[in-house]
Amino acid sequence: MSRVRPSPTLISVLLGIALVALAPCVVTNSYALVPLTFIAIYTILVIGLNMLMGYAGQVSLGHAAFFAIGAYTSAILSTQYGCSPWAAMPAGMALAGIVALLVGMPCLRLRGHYLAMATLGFGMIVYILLMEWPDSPPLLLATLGRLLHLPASTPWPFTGGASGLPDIPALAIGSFVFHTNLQKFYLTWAFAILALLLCANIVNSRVGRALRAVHGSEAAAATLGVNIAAYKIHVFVLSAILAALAGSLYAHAVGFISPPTFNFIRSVDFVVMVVIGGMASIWGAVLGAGTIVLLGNWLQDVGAKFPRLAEFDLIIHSAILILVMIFMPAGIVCTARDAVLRRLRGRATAPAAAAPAHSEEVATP
Amino acid sequence: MTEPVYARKRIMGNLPDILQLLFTGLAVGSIYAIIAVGFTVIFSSTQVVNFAQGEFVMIGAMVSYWLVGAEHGPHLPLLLALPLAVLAAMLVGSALGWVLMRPLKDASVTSLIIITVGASMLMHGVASLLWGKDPVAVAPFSNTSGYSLTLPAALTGPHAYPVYIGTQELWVMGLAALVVLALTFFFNRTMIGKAMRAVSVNRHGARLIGINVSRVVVGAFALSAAIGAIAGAAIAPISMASYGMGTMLGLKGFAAAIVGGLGNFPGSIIAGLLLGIMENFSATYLSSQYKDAFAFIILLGVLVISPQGIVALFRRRRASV
Repeated sequence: MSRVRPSPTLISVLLGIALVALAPCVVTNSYALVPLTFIAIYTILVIGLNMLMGYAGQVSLGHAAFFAIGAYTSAILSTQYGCSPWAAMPAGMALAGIVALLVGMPCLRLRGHYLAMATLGFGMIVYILLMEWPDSPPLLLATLGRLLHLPASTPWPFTGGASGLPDIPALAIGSFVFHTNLQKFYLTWAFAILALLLCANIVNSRVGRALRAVHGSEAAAATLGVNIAAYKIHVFVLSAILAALAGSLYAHAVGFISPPTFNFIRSVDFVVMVVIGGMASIWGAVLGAGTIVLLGNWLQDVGAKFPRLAEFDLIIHSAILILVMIFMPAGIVCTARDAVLRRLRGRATAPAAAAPAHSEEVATP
Repeated sequence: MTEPVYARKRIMGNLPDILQLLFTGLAVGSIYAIIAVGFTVIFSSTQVVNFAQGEFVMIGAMVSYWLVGAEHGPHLPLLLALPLAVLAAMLVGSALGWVLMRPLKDASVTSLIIITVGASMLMHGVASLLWGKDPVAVAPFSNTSGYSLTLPAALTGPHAYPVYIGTQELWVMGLAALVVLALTFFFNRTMIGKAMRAVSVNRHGARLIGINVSRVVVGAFALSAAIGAIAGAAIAPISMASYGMGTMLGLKGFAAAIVGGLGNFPGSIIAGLLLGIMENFSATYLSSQYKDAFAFIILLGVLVISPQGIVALFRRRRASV
């Protein structure tokens, strides 16, 4: 194999760019682009969560909280403090990264599933904070203000509580504002493809090999000198940063955010997306996010005609989760790929056995 | 800085308030405690953290409500409805245990956790279809609503309120104590209980000496569901019942189980009681809006300081002295 071959990642990325560029030619209805935009946003989050669950073997049940940190930081900085959205976005990512480090460090040093529990608690705290903030800025801030002798009129950030935050500005480059559905579609997919590229590179690098070793056997990886705890923490922080990026894009693309978007059920939805795509499969993230977003959309359409059926979405999501987990723990993508490969290989290795059967089949009719 | 001083002043001046908060806190805490015990039962025999535990609580509350008080329900007497509700939860619990049997053999703990999360969402969705989304008021177990306990004026000062002892709170505490006693008996005196303990110590060893591990696992889920259902039926008259009540109660019970040290039976009871009391006090003296967040802040704090739970913390102290 002396010939230089383009790497599979490069091919996939080029294919992805081509698909995204051509999609608006097929989907001419601008409203139909909205769910596709959501797929891009969730893909960014799900890739990170996928690496956490697939390679670090840890579940996060609070990723909606990191999604919220990104969205609310972006929204608050750009609407209340006059920040540029481009500055607000990395601020939210940095905040999410720091918070993830603080939450993850104590849990990931231990064996076992303490991260699932800690993130679950963390998610609840963030959700309650978002809901209750406007009536009483959290004690911590109020006490801090009193300690520093700040005036009572200090402009504490405001979350809008249950009614949410409206009028979040759209992202813009110079005077060019990403305003229409088509522009938002291209913008979010550009970020999604960058995130996919980044994670594909990480997985194929030395770090990725270490992660896969951890995935295969923690004990063996540790024996080979891989610092398991450090890698797990890195992956968790990376996933939180990607979640915050997705949140920020969500806030600027939708223009309105409110707490129900970031509740516990949403965190579970993200886990469902990972599971459908297959853990430890970066490209599965697109499929997982796509399935759940389109399913949700379809249920909404059906629900408009049969209102009773709309109530089934929770049941359908959870049933998918359970069934996939029990029967296809590798996810739909990997299971389907393995099945196809097995079929192909079976045909290639047993042509002699297949041939008479084939002729027989031809002969009978 | 001014907050704690203010709080201390109020605590010194208001003995009846403190007793009142202690009493209602203990009632809520005993619910957290028995939910935490439910987690412990499943965790010790399967190493699975059952995120659907809260839904067993919801099933207990909703089924007993439907059997006793619902408009189109059968209007059964409570004495008959309570065992039926427990039975319903046990059926659902065994079904979950049975579903988990296959992945339990080879799948990672990650998959198992995800399946229980899925099961929780599934029950959530089914319950909202069956009983609607509105919370319902549930009749208390007995007709007498409660007793007012006036403290001697020497202790409290002249204008003190009496302490109100609610009957349903007493029921809750009594049932919780009963559950704990029954479980202690079950695990120490009965053959099935001993088999469960054997499985929790060493699954393969238990199989070698002829224990049917599958049956024990399903049994653990059924038992845990029964415990949860009792908690749900008991708390429903105080908190109202709804399809979504299980999430928060389950998570708080779960926080108690972690704080007590996952798999630690007495630890989770102590932690549950403490959590209920602390939550009540912090809601009154610190901030009522963030009441629901305190349990999780404590959970995070314990995970940071001593992930094996507070009991382990004290044990370590003692060992090092």
